[in-house]
Amino acid sequence: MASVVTPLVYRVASGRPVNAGRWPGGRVGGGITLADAVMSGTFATAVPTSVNTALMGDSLTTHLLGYNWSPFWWANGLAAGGALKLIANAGISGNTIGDMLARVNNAYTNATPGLAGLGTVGRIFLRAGTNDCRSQTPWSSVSSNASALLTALKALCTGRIIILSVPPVGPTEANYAAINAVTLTYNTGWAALAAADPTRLLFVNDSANLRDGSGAQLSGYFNGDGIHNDGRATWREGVDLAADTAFIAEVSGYPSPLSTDAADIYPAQPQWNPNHVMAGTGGGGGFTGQVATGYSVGGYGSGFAGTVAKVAADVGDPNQTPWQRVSPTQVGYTGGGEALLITAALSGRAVTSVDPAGLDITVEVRFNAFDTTKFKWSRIMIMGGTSSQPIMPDLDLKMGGESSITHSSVVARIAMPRLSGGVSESGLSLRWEWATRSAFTGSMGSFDFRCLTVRG
Amino acid sequence: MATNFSTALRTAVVGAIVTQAGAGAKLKFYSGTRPSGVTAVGGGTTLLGTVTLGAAIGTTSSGAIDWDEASATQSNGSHVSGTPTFVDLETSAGTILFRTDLGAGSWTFTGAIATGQNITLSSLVTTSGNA
Repeated sequence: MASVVTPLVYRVASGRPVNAGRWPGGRVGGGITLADAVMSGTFATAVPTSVNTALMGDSLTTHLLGYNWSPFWWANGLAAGGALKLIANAGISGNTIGDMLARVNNAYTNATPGLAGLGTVGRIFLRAGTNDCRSQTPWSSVSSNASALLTALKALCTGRIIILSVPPVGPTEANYAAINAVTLTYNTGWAALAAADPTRLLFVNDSANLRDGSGAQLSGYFNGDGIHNDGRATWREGVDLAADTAFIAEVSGYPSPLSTDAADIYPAQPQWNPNHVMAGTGGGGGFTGQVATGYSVGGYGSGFAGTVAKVAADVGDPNQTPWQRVSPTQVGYTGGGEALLITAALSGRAVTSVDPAGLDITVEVRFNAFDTTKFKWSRIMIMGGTSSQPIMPDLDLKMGGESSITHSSVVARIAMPRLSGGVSESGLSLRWEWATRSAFTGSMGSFDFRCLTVRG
Repeated sequence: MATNFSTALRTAVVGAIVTQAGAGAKLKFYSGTRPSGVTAVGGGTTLLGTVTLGAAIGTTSSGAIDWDEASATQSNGSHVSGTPTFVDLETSAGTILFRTDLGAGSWTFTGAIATGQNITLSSLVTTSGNA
């Protein structure tokens, strides 16, 4: 920055007095200093929308053990690599749009829960309108409530509201044809509201493939009541939601929640599964072959057989954690809760009635032409050693799809609060059920899993 | 000692930056200890993100560069997570033209660079001294 001006000096000529030859104007010395350029302005990275996620809806959203029909888990696992962290589910059976509006600002801990008091929430998934359609209430009569509900939801999160469509109803519902016609107008209405505020709202018609060409409900996807999903409808919605380009753009870009660090365990870290990196072959159970240390793979109930193996990660896979492969060859079913069963002991701090307040379960599952028509769901439960009951909502992947699932992998994740009525437990264990739909002997393909963490 | 330049001269000074930067100049964000002067970056620094500027880094008037943020492009998938400490302006050929700290009294950086997240440029101005 300093720029020196060279002094100009006359040399004294020979024989001349030393004071006679100087520059008459005197000597200019030193230099001038150029001031720094002033840099003003800012750089910033866009603050990523929080991965914390909540659900709002009716019975198609509510989360009871083994009874949760939201496609969130499939969609999150396929499109976002399981990055979204579901921290609340405010689905209440039978709710209309007006019912949801009336409670949306309640605290989540309220007996009639809303979505207030959850801290930072990035996104909210909403599915609403089925119960209004069942009474054939026209969209024009609920649209103001729908707008008000969206306004309230926008105030409760920092990102977008993902509006999911109203599914079709089946012929066991009285006046189903007329009701189906109304559901289509609701979806048009939701889509129009979303289009008016694309920054905060995204509508995805995830149930379009559950209708035939006339808009009627396809058979084979729903329960006998014609209203509630069978596992295959939830799977279909999840796959279709995960394939929506706008949804992919909305939820992609987050780092993977999977842990590959063997040191990421208690007591150094609040992570309760001591072998999420699938080390060793010291596991057991009723199946034949190798099981990673600490795991047991077998059947709950009679009629189960299969093979198990440790499988190296694919070449080039940035996650080099080996997989535990499970290849059932025989599954039983009598309606008595039979399931292919994976268990593991968990290790952590003392469990009181309130601590841990919640747990974040994450696992990567890979399907290898796995025949899900023989299964109803995969659900991971965290069991209390004293109560012998789940202490938090299960991590559930509904299935029973039309055919084999060959998706490379899905990262399933849930981080819900502890169930009410908690007690002190002697410890925690993991119980992972693959509930069967029918008895079968023969090839069913296989599934692999790894990086199963229980954090909190 | 106060030294003052005319506005025209100050505009010409910052205009030289624009001229030398040329088209496709880059702002490179680094973490770590800032190397002295504009010497090449080396060990101890990590390139967190690169933003490529447009046909010109900005326009000049009244002794200042108004940077053209709208023409900037970046591949956020290549960004490395971290908090930058200094930024270099390089020509498209990789010649470092200037280096400046990020912080109070200069360009500031809010948040942190993250893979998959764009670096946002807001209201960038370079004002010549000696006003």
